Amino acid sequence: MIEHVITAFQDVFAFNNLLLMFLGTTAGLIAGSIPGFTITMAVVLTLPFTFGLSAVEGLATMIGVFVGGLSGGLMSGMLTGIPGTPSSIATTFDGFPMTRRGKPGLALGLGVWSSFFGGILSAVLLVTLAPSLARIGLKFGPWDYFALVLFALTITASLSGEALVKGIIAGLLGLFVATIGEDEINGVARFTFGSETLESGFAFLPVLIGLFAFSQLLSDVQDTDKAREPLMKSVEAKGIRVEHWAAIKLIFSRWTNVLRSSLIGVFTGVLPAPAGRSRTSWPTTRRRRPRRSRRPSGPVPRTASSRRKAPTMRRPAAP
Amino acid sequence: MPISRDSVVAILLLALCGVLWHASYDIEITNYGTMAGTIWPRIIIVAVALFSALMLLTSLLNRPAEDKAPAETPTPLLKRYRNALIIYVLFLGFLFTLPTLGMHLGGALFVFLPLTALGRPSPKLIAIHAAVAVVSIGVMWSIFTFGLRVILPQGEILPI
Repeated sequence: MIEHVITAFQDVFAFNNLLLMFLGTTAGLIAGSIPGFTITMAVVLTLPFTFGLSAVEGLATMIGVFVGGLSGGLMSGMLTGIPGTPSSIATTFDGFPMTRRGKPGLALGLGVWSSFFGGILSAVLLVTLAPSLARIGLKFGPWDYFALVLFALTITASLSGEALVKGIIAGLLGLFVATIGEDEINGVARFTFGSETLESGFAFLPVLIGLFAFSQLLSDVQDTDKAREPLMKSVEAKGIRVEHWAAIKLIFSRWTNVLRSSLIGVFTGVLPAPAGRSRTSWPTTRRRRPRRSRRPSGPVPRTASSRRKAPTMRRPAAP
Repeated sequence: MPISRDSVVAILLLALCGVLWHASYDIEITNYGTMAGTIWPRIIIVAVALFSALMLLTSLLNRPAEDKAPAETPTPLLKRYRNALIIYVLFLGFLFTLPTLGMHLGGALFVFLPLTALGRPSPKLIAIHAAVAVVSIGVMWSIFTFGLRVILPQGEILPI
């Protein structure tokens, strides 16, 4: 095994592969920061450029796009409140309030560096434990998935704190929206009300943008004077400096958060179908916080918990 | 006696559950498969209805406590939601005129009109809003059309 790891290191650190990774990561960052432009789309667009490359070079480029896209999604999520990618949803919960409180540099730093540390931890865990984790993942059957989805729903409901009933209703309504359109098992239309548009159901991305962008817009325009105010009052428009050291210090001061969130990411990532690792990790971290700090603009480390990288073993989800 | 917002939401949800339950009878029952397409939606509808009823009950029972709270200055409903209504109406207008105006014209109008409707209507600001609308939609349209080769709705007025 060791010789394989050494060979892989030699390949990864070859100059041309590093250059391709740099280009791929840059492209991924740009693609991920555009709301509505998914990482999958970016990887697919990159694919034709890799035909003339070797297998290692092509993989390095596409993994660069994928990882860059994951980090790029947090930029729009934190700065505008509109997640660039579905995996960045949880960064809007804390990152955007931090930005509005005049700390965009710290929010971005936390997102980028927790992505980095989470990615390293996940990679180490995968290199050492991949065969065992794969065995566990492949043993998951329908009942296990059902239990996992039920678990995800319960923790989603718990996010609403004391308004538990409202949280459960919101979760159930989300489930109901997913039933609209063609039934995947029997192939019959459900709740389309005669509309052909509804037959294909609701795609995740438009729903995501509608939920986050439109709701943010509506809450902002309620008061016309407030709507005219800049997003960040205390930050000058000259530019935002990413606070790297402050972010790293904060992440290390709460290292258990990084470890716990990485483990959650690795476990849910090895399962063949489930997505939404960040949404699993975020409420878990939130529940670990003292009650007084569970407000939306609350403490910093929850932003870190949503930025754990996913392991690369995950199979593509069914369309 | 004023009704609380939670009660209104719960009543609306119960009404929605009724409509959806009725609509579930339109789902075709097939003679194949082990589970009909109606089962899961109905389970969800029943669950939503039960929790909505619970919410209604809770909101009605908690109402006296809410009444004791110091009353805020009431804001007229239309004034409170005026801007949100404008956005909704303009968005619906954007959707319905998209096949005619296309993404470029419709998009530019959809950016320009909310900015002007919600902002102060001075000639200088109107000119700025128009410039912002044209530039932002122009850049977006160019990126999708030329960069990503994505065909956006062309419209009938300016089919490009």
